[in-house]
Amino acid sequence: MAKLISKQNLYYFIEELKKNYNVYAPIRKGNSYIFDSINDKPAEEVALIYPTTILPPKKFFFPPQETLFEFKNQRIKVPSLNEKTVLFGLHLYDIHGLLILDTVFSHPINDYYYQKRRQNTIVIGISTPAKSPAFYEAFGLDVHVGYDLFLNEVPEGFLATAESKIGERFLKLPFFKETYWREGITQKFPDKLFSNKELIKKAVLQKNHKIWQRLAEICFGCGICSYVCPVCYCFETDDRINFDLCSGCRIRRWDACFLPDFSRVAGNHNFRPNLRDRIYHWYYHKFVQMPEEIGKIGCVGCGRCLTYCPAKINFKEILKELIKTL
Amino acid sequence: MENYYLPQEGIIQNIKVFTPEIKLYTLKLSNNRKLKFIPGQFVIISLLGYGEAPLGIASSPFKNETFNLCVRKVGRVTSALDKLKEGNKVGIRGPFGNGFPLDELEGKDIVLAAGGTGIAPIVSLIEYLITFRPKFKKIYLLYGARTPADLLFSSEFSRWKQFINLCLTVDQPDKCWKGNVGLITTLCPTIKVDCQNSWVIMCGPPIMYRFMASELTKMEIPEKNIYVSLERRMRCGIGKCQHCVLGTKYVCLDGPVFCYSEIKNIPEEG
Repeated sequence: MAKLISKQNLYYFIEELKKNYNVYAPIRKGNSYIFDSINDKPAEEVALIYPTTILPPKKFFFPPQETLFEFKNQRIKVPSLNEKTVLFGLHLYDIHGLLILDTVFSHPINDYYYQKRRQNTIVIGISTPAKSPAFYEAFGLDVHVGYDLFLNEVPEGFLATAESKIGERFLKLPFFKETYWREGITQKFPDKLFSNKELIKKAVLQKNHKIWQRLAEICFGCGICSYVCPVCYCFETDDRINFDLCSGCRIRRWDACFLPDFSRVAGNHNFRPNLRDRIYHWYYHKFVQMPEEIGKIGCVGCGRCLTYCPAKINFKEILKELIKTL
Repeated sequence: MENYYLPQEGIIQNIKVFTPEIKLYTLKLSNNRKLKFIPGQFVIISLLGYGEAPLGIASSPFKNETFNLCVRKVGRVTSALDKLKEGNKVGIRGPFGNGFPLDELEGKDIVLAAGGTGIAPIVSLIEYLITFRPKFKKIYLLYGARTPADLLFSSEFSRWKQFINLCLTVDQPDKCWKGNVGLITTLCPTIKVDCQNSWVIMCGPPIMYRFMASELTKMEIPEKNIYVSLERRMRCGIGKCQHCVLGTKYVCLDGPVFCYSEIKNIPEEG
């Protein structure tokens, strides 16, 4: 049962959440938007309508850099991950990005750090404005999964739908009013390009296609498309040692399969020395490997890789060109 | 929820120097814990402040109060390990991976092929096979190294010879060397096995797999009976970090032991 919340009440609701949770929400940063803590800011600073953020919400569960454990001599201490968190204002594509990471980080073995944080987090979704660079409609994403509460913008404010017990509890708060509005969020119709996973897979499997070499000539190999991707998750680990030489920490940090050392082993052998092969691997992972592993392609249509690629590479155009030669 | 990123504490019980670069470490887990593993599985050794490295287990799976790791000083972690002494502590994660296809080997002729330090996980398999010797038919070990001094585990050879056919070869012989000289493939003609019913397990550099596989299939050993153990950069051991991915398989989860026919067409194999 959907309920209506006015914009002003929504700010009051956020203030209420801040009393019990660490709340992260989209805020304006220069000409862009980022997810950031709002516990030290008034709720009015939350951007209720925003095109997209620079980094996806994966950064809260799988941070760009995190401590796996600290050590002193041979003693190991694992950081506490029990912070009660609300992620407010996620667009549908980012919610689906998290659902994919949920599978990746639990299948077949649980990733302790991701899962611990995820267990303690409430997700509140919000509708995406028409002017967003995201093209997630193309995917026909399920609109009823992956969140506790979803807020859909309507002329009177936001229409709120719950998909969990916590969400239903929120709806009982006095900020939410009964309404004649019935429909929550509406399912959009998928694009031809992304409706056929098998076709994309076959297209990408053309490993000897000349397009890969052409891409290698313009791609900087910088890895930004992986960093901003809501479903890219590869990582590297590093040990950091303190000046006392007996204490330090082991960290993990985002890696990118575009970077030259990604597949280098001791003895200096590199299994993927060419940029062409590393570019191919990115497409292979998203459109061949992930469908086989988890049944979904590794893309949710957020459009971030298109926005931030310094070479202006548009993977949708690449896929279309690959499909042409099938 | 188990945290697979945390190493268990292990203590170096003994260090045996094989060559200036290669040592055999005998390790014991603290608190009397035992490492249960299948031959062909690997552990990730963890040196706090330096990092981690995946290493095949080079000892009998039945002698699990201690276990052996054969390590070549080649990278940051293994160079740090090289400086450690008996009694020093290290971290151990695992065992990880699938191990060798032990059940398939029963009642079959078996050819083991090892190149260089690739002998390490094969040692674990040899000890397993010797323990259940009557279950298997002929067993050959083809083992190649650069020089006679690079043939590791030589003190075990006479014991192994009581149970298996040991065929050695070196690239660069010294004055005392009376055995075969040449690549490991030159040992293939000496194998007398029922080819259709033979299984091959190899561990060594990827280039060795290609040449050996071509020799073995010429002898009409079915390709599906040829297994290889692979090595990759690894960070997690649990199929997350993506460094060891090979096509749609993870070396750390689905491997490190693969059927040769399964991986031969993946260009990154070598």
